[in-house]
Amino acid sequence: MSDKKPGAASEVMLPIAPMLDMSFQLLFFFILNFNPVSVIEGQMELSLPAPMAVKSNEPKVDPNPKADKEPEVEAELTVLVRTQHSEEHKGQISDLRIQRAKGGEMEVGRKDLPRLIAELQRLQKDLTNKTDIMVQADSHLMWSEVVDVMDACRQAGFTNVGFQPPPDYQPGS
Amino acid sequence: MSHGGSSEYVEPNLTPLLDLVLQILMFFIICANFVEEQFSGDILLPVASSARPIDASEVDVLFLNVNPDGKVSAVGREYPMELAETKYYLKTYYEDQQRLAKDGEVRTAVVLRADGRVNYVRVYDLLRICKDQGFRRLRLRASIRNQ
Repeated sequence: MSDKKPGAASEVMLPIAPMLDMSFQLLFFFILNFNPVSVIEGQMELSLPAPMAVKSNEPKVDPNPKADKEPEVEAELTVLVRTQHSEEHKGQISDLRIQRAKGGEMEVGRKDLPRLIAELQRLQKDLTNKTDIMVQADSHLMWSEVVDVMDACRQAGFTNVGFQPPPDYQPGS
Repeated sequence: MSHGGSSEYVEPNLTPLLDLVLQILMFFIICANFVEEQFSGDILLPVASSARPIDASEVDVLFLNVNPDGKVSAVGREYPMELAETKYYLKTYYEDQQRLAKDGEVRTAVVLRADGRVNYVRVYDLLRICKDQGFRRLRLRASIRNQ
């Protein structure tokens, strides 16, 4: 027979301390493995590179002929980005120009991105294709500088930025 | 002053503390990313203000990390790859995905994490290879600039 009086509330005590110990261990493990990359990282959609301007001796074999039907970027403007080959400013922008498909070039200056945005916005008004633009950069230009130009193009309202091969491009060089 | 030896057992209430710890633990579990090859810490991403937050619903992705030397790291590869090896890797990957897809169409998005210091020609080479192999969906990763 039970000693408890009928109606007396029996209290069940869970051992909290070991559970807390285990939680702290798990917490420590996850803090050590924490990588906040997804918080600070973003992404941009890319256009595919333009068809090769450089002639190649290799026969062209397309593994996905169906994709050929997809329209390529037909931009009316191309931003030309040049760099110096001197050691001091190697990889940085030395010259920015806007080239029209109909002909003619406009000099923007040395990494004057606000002016580039303003000029692109001004030229955009007269374009038929207001979303597409191409960027042609030198081979030795740093990728971060190219992204800066790409960013400026997107800020100017060109949502579809494509890349052209560098002027001295040799595949796999 | 002594309390005269009367031993009164006082136990602190640990339940709120456990609640708090479990909530913090839950946050770190949700944010955990164990596939470290996907996010190489050595890569210094370029900064872009037009970069948008990552779409977490996109699951069919292939991460390519381009280090400052222009070599490419990918999941399942112990060492960074040169261009020719990358070409072979992407070709094999594409063919595998094509076989796995029911309709034969590959929907994999290539996520490119290129170091900002790498030469443009290396990134362009990689983009060209991706295109040649048949990949059509490309994403460029960059650090989000606070405006």
